[in-house]
Amino acid sequence: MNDWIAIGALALVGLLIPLGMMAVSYLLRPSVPETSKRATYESGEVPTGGTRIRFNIQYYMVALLFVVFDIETVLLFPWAVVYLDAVESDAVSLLEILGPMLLFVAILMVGLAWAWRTGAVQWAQTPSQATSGSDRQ
Amino acid sequence: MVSGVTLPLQGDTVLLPERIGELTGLDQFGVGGELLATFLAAFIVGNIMLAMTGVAGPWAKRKITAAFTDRIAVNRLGPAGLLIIVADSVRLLSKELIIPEDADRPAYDLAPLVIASSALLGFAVIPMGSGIHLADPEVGLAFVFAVAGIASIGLVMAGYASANKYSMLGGLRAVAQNVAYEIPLVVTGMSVVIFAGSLQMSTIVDAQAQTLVSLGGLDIPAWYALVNPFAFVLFLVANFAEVGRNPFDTPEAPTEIVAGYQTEYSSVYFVLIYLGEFIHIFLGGAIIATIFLGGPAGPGPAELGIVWFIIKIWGVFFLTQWLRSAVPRVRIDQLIEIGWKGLLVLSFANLVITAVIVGLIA
Repeated sequence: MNDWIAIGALALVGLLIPLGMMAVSYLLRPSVPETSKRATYESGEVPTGGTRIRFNIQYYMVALLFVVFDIETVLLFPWAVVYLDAVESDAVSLLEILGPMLLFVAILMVGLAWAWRTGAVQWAQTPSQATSGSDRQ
Repeated sequence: MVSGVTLPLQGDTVLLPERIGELTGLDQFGVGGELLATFLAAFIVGNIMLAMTGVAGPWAKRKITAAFTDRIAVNRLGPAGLLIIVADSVRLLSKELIIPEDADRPAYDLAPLVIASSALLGFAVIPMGSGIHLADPEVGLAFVFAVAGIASIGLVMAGYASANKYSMLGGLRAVAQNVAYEIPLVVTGMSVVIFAGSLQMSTIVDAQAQTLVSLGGLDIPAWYALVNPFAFVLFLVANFAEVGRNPFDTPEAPTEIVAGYQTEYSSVYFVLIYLGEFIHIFLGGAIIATIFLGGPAGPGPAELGIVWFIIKIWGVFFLTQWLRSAVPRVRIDQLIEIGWKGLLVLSFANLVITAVIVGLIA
């Protein structure tokens, strides 16, 4: 049987087990609605303001870098798979199989060094922190 | 050295669906019988993981933490308190489900499902020994990394849909963390692919069966943890961050943001998120065992494979619990910097050095 059918079967089992647990829980659990029971938890206080506000997520640049590096890993995987065979065969020299990858990684490392220098790979400071000089302790 | 060995061709391992088909005679009933055998095999693999999580969550975790802090944990129900597993399952499943007022409904309900099932799916390609190996596609290692990554989506869904500020922060932290440590994890995994020359799990395991050195008649196998200990340590650290365990458990940091993305989850939804996290720890352990610790290999006959495999992944689980008791949590800004300025650079250095050394030796 095809490998991917087996993987699909496990995906099905992986969905059926949680759904089964949900069904059992549906049969067992009580429902006792009370006022403010469904209020958002804010350490026991009455919740203030909404959650869906504009929010500095602090790592926009990091997320962009991630996309770059993630694509890089996808491109490196085929190279890693054929590397051993290529090294052992006499058809290509070591420099031919190793050189392009080294260049590729080097270009990305230059990119990372640039991001590092511009402060993109660290948790961004809020403007008040930056001006008062109280850096991340 | 490990390189220069002829590796077995793909497809000479008997996988669990075929084995079950033969044992039950289902393979005589054409495609339908084979499908049923495949489903049975998947059911067995799923339930092995469920059982392990059942032992780990309500029982082993408490026992281990208690031992580290000089206390006695669960010891009332059954031998060594083992029946707490049954009691806790019933207790948790029969809790009232309280859904917060502003919850984003479909996403709020789907998140536990995504977290629990994505973790389980990764075990499809893991060779557990004793013939328990569901599927062996050629892209095995890439598949398992891809599937393990799906959980991040579930964490964001849980964090955003709960409409709770703690959940929101936890969800955002979870993404920042997964984004920072995914690359070192995959790149370090790639340095193993250079040794094995394949992404297929069975090939990676077979390549580790060679003898590295013989010490006084004792053959030390070429497990990649011994061939390249540096990569092993890097992978362990990146893995702890990826599954969000100490010292990298900032997404749920109980002393800062209550419980992070799972703050608003109760009853069966809480169980599913909790279950998903434990299966994720075990999936991380299974990847480590497979690509660094020889998979199900160990002394004794091959039938003992599953025992060795379980010992290895429980070893990784024990390490997570040990760190939980022994290591303080890093701050979120430290976490980002450790990932991008430390592990990422080290993992690429490891990849390049591994490639150069393999190239010079071969």
